[in-house]
Amino acid sequence: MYFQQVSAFPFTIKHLSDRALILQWPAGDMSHELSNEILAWYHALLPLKGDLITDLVPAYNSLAVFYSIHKLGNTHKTAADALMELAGALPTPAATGIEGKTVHIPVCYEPSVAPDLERLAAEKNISIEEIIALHSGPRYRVYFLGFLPGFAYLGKLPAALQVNRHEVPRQRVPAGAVAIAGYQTAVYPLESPGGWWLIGKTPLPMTDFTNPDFCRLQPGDSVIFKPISLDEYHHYKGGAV
Amino acid sequence: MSIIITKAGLCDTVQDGGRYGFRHLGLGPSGPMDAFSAAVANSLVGNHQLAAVLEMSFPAAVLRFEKPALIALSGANLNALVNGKELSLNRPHLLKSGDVVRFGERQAGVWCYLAVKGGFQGGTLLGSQSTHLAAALGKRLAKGDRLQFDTRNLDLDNTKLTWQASLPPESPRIRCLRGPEWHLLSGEDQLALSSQSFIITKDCNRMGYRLEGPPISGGDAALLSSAVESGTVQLLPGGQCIVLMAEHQTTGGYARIASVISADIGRLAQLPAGETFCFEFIDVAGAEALLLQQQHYLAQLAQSCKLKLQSLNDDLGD
Repeated sequence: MYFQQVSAFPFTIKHLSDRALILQWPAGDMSHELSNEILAWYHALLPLKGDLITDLVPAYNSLAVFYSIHKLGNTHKTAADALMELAGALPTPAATGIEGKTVHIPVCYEPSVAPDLERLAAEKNISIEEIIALHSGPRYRVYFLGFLPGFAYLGKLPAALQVNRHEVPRQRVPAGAVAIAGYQTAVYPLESPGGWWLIGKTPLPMTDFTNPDFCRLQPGDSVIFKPISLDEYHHYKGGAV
Repeated sequence: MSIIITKAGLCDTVQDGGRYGFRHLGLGPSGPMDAFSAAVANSLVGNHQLAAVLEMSFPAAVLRFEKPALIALSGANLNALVNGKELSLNRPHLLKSGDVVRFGERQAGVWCYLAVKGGFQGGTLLGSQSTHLAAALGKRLAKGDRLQFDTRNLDLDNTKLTWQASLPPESPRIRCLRGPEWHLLSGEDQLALSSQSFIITKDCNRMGYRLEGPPISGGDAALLSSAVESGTVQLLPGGQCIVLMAEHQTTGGYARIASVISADIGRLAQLPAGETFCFEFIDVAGAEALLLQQQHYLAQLAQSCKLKLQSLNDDLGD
């Protein structure tokens, strides 16, 4: 199979549904290398979206390819065969590489806007200043978006901050909450239930549905969190998506 | 000014074909719970199959028409009445200004679709009118809300609206594909899934339908999040399953053990709490054939209704 021959990371192709295939890499931890591979395929297939391919959904170790059964019907091929033929005409993923922009997200790390901050400090036996330094240090990768529109899964969180999700999720996490769970961090774009630890809050909107490019973050982008004061948080202006 | 909601229902929303192309940003298409019935209603009034319709469930809204409309209802039988008279499903009806449509007890199905000739014209977000409650795109209709539609060529004789949709027979089982994590199940569990009955629980909404059935093991291991879609059957910790529906999240971390075929998702959505059913596992070729068959039926219905409407308009002369 073409993909597997050129990929350093062998994968299988299965049906997610009768309208979507899923390229599945072996389960493992989140890895930048695997993410590079998946995002390279994602970007290589993106120009084909709108014809046979209707949507592409990357994730930690998979890439879902949604397709049009009508366009497929014209070719009398199976979905997997049609997809591989298309892929055969593309430049190899290694050559395509990752595209992405760097986004700076201002975050206020204060207990009054981050209800789990003090609890995390106690749990890890470190100071809030250390939490801020650890969390805002790395350049995070947007692995993918899911769960909610505009919810970007960012990794990899430093091991010193690693915590499991709350056993009982909150009924309401506010929009703008900056949160951590496992080796992931994220910003909740809308109010929603959630089980992640809330350690900060951003005044920057993550989505704008009046805009066709409605998400601030796309798969493959990089994120750097910038600490801001409570005062700056309350007076923050600007920042269109 | 067109239809006013004089009493709100529990969950009435406007849905068109859906909002596609945004899954990579975490936004699923939403759309009708039973796309087939929505398409039937649209076809009966000469609309494009994916035109915006009103989706209702019990208890449904009370609607007052402020101008004449050609409408059709399909899907669930919620005992619709217009000015106290029965408003039957699957055929067009010409309503006058001032007519009031009410719904009574649920008789069959769950989701009822009302299509109006011309389609509803509401707020479009990212190219679609489909309400996505979880994403806060659109909202449930409330008392005082108005639904706009464009009325043209409505100088019709109500007695000449004789066509109706005779729906194709339904299979007794819900057909599905094996899911990406099917191989994680034991042989006994795979057999149980394909032979035992499942019950629709009360815990059902536009996001997903929780089922009650033989406990299946293997759901406790946490998996890395991966794409899911309508019809995806997830195995939850504890051994029970949930079938994702129109407002599903775009990714999930539970084992995807099966996928209800596109042609049968609407039928599953119409099963009320307490109803039992069985899965029937088929292959992709079979699933595609069934979907194409369904779409062929819809295309023929749309064509024949359009011709009938056309001939009525022609009869009136110029």
